[in-house]
Amino acid sequence: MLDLSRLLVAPPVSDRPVAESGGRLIGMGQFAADVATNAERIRVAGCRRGLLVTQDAYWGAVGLFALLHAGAEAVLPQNGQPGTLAALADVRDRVIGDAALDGTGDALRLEPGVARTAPALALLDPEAPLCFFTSGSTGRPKPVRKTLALLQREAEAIEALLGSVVPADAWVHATVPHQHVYGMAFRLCWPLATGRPFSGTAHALWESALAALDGGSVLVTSPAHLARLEGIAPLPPGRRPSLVLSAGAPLSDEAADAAARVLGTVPTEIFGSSETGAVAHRARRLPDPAWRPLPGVTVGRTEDGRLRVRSPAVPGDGVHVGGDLVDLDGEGGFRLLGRADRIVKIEGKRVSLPEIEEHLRRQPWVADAAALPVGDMAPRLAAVVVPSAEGRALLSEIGPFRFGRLLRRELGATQEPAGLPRHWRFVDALPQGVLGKRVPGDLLRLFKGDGAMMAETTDAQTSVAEARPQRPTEPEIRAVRSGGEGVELDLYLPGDLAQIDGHFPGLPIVPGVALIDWAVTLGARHGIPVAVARDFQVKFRRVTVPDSAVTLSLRHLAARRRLAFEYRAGDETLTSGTIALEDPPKDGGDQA
Amino acid sequence: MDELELEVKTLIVNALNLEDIEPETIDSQEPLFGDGLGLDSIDALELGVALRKTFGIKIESVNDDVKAHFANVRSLAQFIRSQRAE
Repeated sequence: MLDLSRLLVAPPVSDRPVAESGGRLIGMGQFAADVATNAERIRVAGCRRGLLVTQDAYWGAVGLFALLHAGAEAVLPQNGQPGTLAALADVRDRVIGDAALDGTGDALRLEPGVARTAPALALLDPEAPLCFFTSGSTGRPKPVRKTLALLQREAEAIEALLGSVVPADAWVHATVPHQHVYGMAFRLCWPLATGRPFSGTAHALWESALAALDGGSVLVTSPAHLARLEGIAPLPPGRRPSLVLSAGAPLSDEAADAAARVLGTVPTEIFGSSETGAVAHRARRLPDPAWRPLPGVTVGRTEDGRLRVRSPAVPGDGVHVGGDLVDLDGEGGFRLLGRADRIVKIEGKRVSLPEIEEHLRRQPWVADAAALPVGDMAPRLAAVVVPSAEGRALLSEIGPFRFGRLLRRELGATQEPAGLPRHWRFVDALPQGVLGKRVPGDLLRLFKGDGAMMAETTDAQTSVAEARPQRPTEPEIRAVRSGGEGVELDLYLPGDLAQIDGHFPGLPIVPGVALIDWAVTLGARHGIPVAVARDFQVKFRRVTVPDSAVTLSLRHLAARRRLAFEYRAGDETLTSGTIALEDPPKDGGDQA
Repeated sequence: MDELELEVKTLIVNALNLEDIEPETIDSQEPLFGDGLGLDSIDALELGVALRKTFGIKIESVNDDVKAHFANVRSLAQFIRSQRAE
């Protein structure tokens, strides 16, 4: 292992490339010269905290080391969008970067150095500071402070885990940015600390990524890409990568299979966060294996079910508790159960719902807004917007598609693509609960008309039920009272009901379809003659939460051929409605 | 209207699950990314899948000017035609 703090002190003279950038191979000598030249320029500019924005990972490395060698703090924003840079104006004195900055005013543009004349570089302080920004649950980006020593330790843990499967001279290619902690660790720090060359390019399309791969190389990618391999021919054996890494969100079984088939390598998934760096890994040979901690990392579970990480790569006391809910497997590993806050993962990117709402509300066309994920397996971001008077006028002029696109474009000033809602609903008022609290179930119902999304939801529920038969799909019946034309059931809704999976990460609710389904099945079991349930009319008043006791009243309205039902918690009605019943089909005739 | 261009427009609307828009209302020369339709990098990945599946197109190397092909509906239609001619 090389030490990142002395990497550029008297660099070895060799032709071995460090990186590729813009089609050029760059050797260690040139890298040192580029860093030294720009460190000098940063020093002369009097910069103490530089906001680093680069699209090419090589220039990202140059900028990072130049800032640290200049004695300045390197600040890495969550993206390079102009609005993001403007919002971080108070945490930096200069913006530093490459072509990503075209058109930005006071920025210091990184320039190539001349190896012959560049000054020598001194040893770096291992405590040299870096600051990453990530999505926080409060609606504002959150700073995460690190040091060079922490990045070094993370690179060492990665090499201890993966070094043996990757040739010593393997190229590291990528489809993900290097601006985030995952890309920074796997695209920059690990290659630099192990002497492996890396490519500066983050490939947007598969075609160009695959053209760059050669046998034995590493591909640092994500579910966003691995789930979209369809139509690509399998790589010939001589061009298969030795390692395919995926991080950001769990890989679906289909994507894991497709990756193994097309790339010829079973993907290795990495779990981590901005705060912790890489924490755990798993190979996707089987569906949903447990996560195993990286060498030197241990995990635990807090009393309220959150993951506790103890790692030498975590700042401060080395312990971090985040918003991920987990189950421990008793063998040092864990499984993820969802999030405990309003942070969601879209396309593998951390997206803060409060932040999206905040940015939407700042637009002149928007009076109020709510953001939510829709769909289970591959959630997408959706927004429910109450247009302002100005917005209403524009909406009627240009129509909902263009209006949604306009709002998206404005959001694009601060958000990456994953943070841009793909589905929009425009309403007069946001659904409000009795206590003035927003009811997510009501919001979600606004998107239920979408055929594709429904299909996705149904598939996901089916596969969840198949994969985990041990989870209950029905409430427990605590008491039954019958009389007159109906029956009353006291029910307990277990917290681990299969139906609540993934609907609202961190905010479990019992979906309306489950309530309707139980009314029919429980009715049939308690003497109400149900052969086929036709349509239904339902009124959702309050959200039904799992791990609670409710009362279900069922009445057979024989004359109207309907089943009336009502779910109550105490005296409050949660959901009520009627379901049209049909006798068993005897003569093939429809309802009279 | 050019039939292939209309086919591409329909493919874009269906593959990207765009709501509240009819394929006919997309202008063939309107930029797909940035202003215009406002597609992004995730849309580009999805569009790549749909184009491979529907038209069997292949973008062979890094040197192919992917960005130029994806500029608008017309350039995509031209690209599909050039692939068919080969």
